[in-house]
Amino acid sequence: MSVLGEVSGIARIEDAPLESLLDALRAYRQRQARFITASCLDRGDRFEILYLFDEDLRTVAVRTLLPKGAKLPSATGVYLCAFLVENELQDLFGIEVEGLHIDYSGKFLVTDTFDAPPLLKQTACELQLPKENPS
Amino acid sequence: MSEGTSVPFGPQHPVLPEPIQLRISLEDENVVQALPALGYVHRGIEKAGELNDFQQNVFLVERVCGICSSIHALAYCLAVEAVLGLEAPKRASYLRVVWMELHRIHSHLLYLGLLAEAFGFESLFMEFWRVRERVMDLLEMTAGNRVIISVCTIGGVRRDIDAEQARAIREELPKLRDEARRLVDSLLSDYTVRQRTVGKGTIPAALALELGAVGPTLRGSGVAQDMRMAGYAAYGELEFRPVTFPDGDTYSRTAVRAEEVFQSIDLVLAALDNLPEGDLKVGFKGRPEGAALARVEAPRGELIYMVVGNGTKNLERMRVRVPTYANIPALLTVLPGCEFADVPVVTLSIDPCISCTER
Repeated sequence: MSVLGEVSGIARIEDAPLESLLDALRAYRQRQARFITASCLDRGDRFEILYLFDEDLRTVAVRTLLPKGAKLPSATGVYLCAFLVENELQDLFGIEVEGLHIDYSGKFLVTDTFDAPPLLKQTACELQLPKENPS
Repeated sequence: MSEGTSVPFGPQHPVLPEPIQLRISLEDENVVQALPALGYVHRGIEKAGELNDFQQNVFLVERVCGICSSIHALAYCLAVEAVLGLEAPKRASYLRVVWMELHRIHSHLLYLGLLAEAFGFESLFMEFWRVRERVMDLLEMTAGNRVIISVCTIGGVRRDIDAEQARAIREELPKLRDEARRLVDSLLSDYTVRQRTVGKGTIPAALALELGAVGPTLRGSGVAQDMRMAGYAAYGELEFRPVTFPDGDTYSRTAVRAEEVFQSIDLVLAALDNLPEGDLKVGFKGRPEGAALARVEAPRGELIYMVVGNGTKNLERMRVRVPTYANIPALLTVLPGCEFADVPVVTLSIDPCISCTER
């Protein structure tokens, strides 16, 4: 499956291979770009992850492609505030983040009652109702 | 030196309207570490956004948050409109400003009341909320509901504000401004309030930017950044300069919100004065294919929606980044060093919205 082309509202998307991802993020840090968040898309055999930054009200992004099963290097050494979204990636997509400063081990937003990472495309969602109505 | 103590702050606490736990580590009365425990109100809204029809999502995203519900709908609609290549009519853009600023006024008055209550200043809390009720009445008059007003739709707005309603708003807001000014002056000049807020939880501007803070939390550190400067809806045609206070403490963050109440009143009146005639929405055919990101200024700061369409009625992805989410790292960084007694007020000073944060 192809990656996102132009994204309306994002002025520039810079592609960074996984091995040089942290270098790309450091370059943004040196330019004093404000880290906004990261956004992940399940692309079948891989994840497409966009790291979004603010530069004087313009949105710019670094994109990396992560094969499923591979580990994502943590951005928390560059932007500490990324620990929230990286814990969310672990919870909701099942991505293992390596070197995460504050690691909730996949239990940041979700609990043990979740069978599978909910934002994976193969994770079906069903309405769960109590088996018996106590009333 | 005494041994450290760990104290759970929340998830149920008098100053927290919603559940979040901060695990506070103390040495004597001083905080040395604060870590959040979330997940009490995670509802899977991003997943639901992939399962619903993209038009139904307008109603879904309004339920992310009760206080800034309409602003979630606006951000989502702007993103979908960008994918579909739509531009809302001018009248709709001005009406959007009116409703979004009414939301900001009632959100900020809610915060100011809660802050007063956190000090035990019960009468001022009730006074702020009494004034806030009148904004809720304006929302009900114009939209038929007080909180979830459902005025935004893809391509424009679903309701109009007629001349009689505009006249009622014009009459009410100046009175409301006078009353709010009296209350704000009481709050910000009060000796006890100043003792509890000045110099508490200080976030220097550089640290706020480094930690990704947004909204009044960022502007309270002197950084003039507000997404309304980008000119979405009709903001580009209305006079607007962000409110800033320089000190980065709880007092500055509160003062920013207080002054923004008056700024929002001016914006509502200016939008009504310049309200053009015309359609309320543009029609469209087709389904979203492509991706777009929209950033708007919610009461607590920058709110972001990113949508990815695949040409079907369901979105491939709906990503929501809310302002409290961006302000939590700054809060966790400034709590260490505070006295434990200041934790409730400093926590409240980012105006946390946990329903938004967990989605």
